[in-house]
Parts: sequence; C-alpha cells; structure tokens
Amino acid sequence: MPAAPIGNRVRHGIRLRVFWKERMESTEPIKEYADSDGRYGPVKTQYADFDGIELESGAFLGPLRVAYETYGTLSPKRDNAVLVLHALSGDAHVAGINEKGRIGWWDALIGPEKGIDTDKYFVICSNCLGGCIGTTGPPSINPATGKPYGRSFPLITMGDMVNVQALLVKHLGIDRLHNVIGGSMGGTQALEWAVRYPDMIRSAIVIAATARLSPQGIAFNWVGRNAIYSDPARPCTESDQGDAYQKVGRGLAVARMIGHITYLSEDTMEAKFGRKRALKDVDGYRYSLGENGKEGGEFEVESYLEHQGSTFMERFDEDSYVVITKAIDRFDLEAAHGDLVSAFRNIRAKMLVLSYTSDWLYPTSMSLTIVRALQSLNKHVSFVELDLPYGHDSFLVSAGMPTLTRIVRGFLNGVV
Amino acid sequence: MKVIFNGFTEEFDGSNVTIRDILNITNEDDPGVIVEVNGRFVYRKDFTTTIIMEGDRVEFIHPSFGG
Repeated sequence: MPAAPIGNRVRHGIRLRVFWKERMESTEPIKEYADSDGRYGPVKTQYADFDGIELESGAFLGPLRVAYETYGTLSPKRDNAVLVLHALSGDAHVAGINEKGRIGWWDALIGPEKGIDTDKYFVICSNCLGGCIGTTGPPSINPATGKPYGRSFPLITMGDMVNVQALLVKHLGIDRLHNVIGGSMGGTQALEWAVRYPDMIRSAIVIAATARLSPQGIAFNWVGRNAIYSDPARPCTESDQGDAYQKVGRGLAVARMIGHITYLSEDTMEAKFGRKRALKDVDGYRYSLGENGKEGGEFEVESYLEHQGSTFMERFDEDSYVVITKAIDRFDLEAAHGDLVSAFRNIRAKMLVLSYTSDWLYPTSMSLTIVRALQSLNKHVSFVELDLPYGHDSFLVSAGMPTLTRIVRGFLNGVV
Repeated sequence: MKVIFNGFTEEFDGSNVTIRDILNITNEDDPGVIVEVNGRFVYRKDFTTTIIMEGDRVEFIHPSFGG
C-alpha cells in the first residue's frame, strides 16, 4: 500500500492517495531535483502592451504594460502552459538567470526536470498589476500628468490583477492553462483564477493562502503602510506630488521588517538567530547605542531585519507596497459572493490546497475553510498540510523544496 | 581584505579567497545556499574558482520574495 510521505500530515486524503498511487506504480525513476542552481540558464524579461483595462472600481487604467518571462516551449496544441503567480514582493523573474545576473525566486521548483518541468511545460510568470518591476504600477508615468502615478495610482483588487494576467495569457495565444500556481498572495490569485475563469484553467495549486485575510494580517499590513505614510520624504496627495520622487526615509524598510517577522516562525528565529549578538564590545555586551546614537543592530535578528529592509528599499517601491497590500487586505471571496460555497460553485479546475504547520499568518485553518467549501460542492480537491518549521515563507525555503517538488510534480501529472 | 558580507563589512585574511573559502569560514555551506557577488548569481561549480576582491559585495541568500 502506498504510504503518505514521511513527515507530512495528510488530511482529506482520498484524492491525494489516488495520485500517490499513480506515482508509486510508475516505473519511471523519480528525480529528486530541487536546487536553486540557475539550471534553466539565461532568461530575458519581455513586455506586452495593452490599451488599458477597466478596473473593478469602474475606473479605466491605461496604457497598460505587463512584464513577463516564459520558460520552456508552448506545445503545438497550446495546452501545456503553467502560469506562476508571485507573492507580495515577487516579480516576473521566477527561474533561470536574468540579464542582471539574478537568479529566479522559485528556481528550485522550475526548470528542466524540476517540480514544474520546463522540458514538459511552458511556464509563464508576470509581474502583478500595481507592481514596480516592469508592469504598470505606481512608478509608471500617468499619461494625464506626465509624472509617475505615485500614491495617486488607483486602488486595485486581486480580481484586477487576475484580469490583467488573463489578458496576457490570451495575448500569448493560450485559451486554457494546464495549471495556475502561487503561494501567499499568488495563492489567493490562483483561487481567484479558479473562481473567475473556470473555463481557462484545468487545475490550480493554492499554497499558504486564504479566501480572506484575517484581521491580524490586515493589522500587520496597516502598521507597515503607516511606516511608509510616516516617511516625510514622500508626498501624500496628488496635488503635492511634485518632484519628490526620491527615497530619503526608511518607511519601506520598516514595513518590510514588520512583514518579514510575520513570514517567519518563532522556531525559525530561535534556530537561525537565537539571542546571538552581531555587534559586541569586549565582554560581549554593548555599552552605547553606537555611531550617531543609532543602534547598528546588536542582536543578529536585528541586523538580519535591517539588511532585509535595506535591500528591499533597493528593489521595491513604497507606493506599490501600499497598493498591493491594500489589494491583499480587501480580498474576500466570501463577501464578494455571499459565502464561499457560492463563490466556488462554478469552479471546474482540479484543486490542490497546501498549507504549512508553522504558518501563523495564513494558517492551516484558513486553507481548510477553502477545502471544506470545495468538498461540500463535490469539487475535485486535494489537501496537504506540510510539517515544516519555517513559517509562512516555507514555500520559498530551500529545505522545503524536495517535498514541494514531489507534490507539485505528482499533481501536475494527474491533470489531464 | 575587507568584504561586504551579507550587508556588513567583514575582514577576511589572505589573498585568493574564494567563495568556497568563505562558505567554509562562515559555516554557511548548506546545499541550498545561493551565492551572489556584487548582485550576480554564482553557479555552484564556480565556487572554488571565483576569487573575492577587496570591497566585493558577497551575499549568501535565499531569494525569499514572500508575503
């Protein structure tokens, strides 16, 4: 009898057992290949331009540019496409090495012979609407003013982001995707895809996500945005937008630090940093705050967050952070459709829902809410709770990749 | 030799210090480690031949663009 993978808890496993069985009976050897090694090779970000899009708010946003990358080859029948959806701070560069020499954020999962095998699938990943890494967002020029939108960028929804992704998919000549997959915000988009475009996807993988963010999650995002709003260098209204487009304050760095705490677990912090000190005076303690009366980050956890915040400022835009976290906060499939069962009624895709035991930001209970609503409609749904200690970011951590690789590969193979 | 290692200036002794040497010195060598020098990814096969220069920015990271 095929056994569930060791170390993982499997619940609601009826469908799941089916695909494990298929895998166990296959004679083909299974490669455990899950390294961030840039194996796909060099990739180039591409751009698709559209006249614009009508937002759910009724406002028109245009022109619209979408930054995306593709990996692998689209089959003659155009039926092997997998759309990858990134999290809050991700971008279109998901695998391989880009022109700047950077490795993709999910390179361990995507590439030749990896969990999403680029020898088999045509993988697409685009930067989300409202982002700042190539797709139209707050740093883009507002044609009405000739200046960047900044904080005057319209408030968008998760549905708007998905609508833009659908525009791109159609632009690439694809009627139906083999799969959509994403973690965190990407997971909520995968869910939105299943609800909004039931005929455009065969399957969806929803990782560490929820049908509605908890008040706790909203609270953390609010504090993060407040750090940005408190930044004196940035204008608050459109009228004083002026030319103040420079980064002086550290609001975004503070927002990232707060976010980062929520992505890790207490156990990870204990194991990774403990109470170790990065900066020490002779006897292991510091007796002054350091240069200019500012702490340099005495504890290792502090210097880690400091570094995360600083590097984030180099690659992200604070107004994009505001716009995207607002969309995450307001995403609520229950409110939009009356209840979850009504929201899921038209879903046709095979669904796989994944959660992590140590994720306290998007906990397993939220994933189970999704699974139960799908089950009550007798939809095809598999659910796995992975026992990993790395918190919400477990889906990105290299130690979790071999397990994720096995599950994703098995699930994709079972989708016809 | 001063190197900016994970955002902080650190002193490494000697010349011809490779990424492999820094991995060994810092105990950071786990199979999943991603190494960037001055913002560019370094392939694992090049760890022993990539020599770090004074002032280089060396990062051992996971590109965990989460949230």
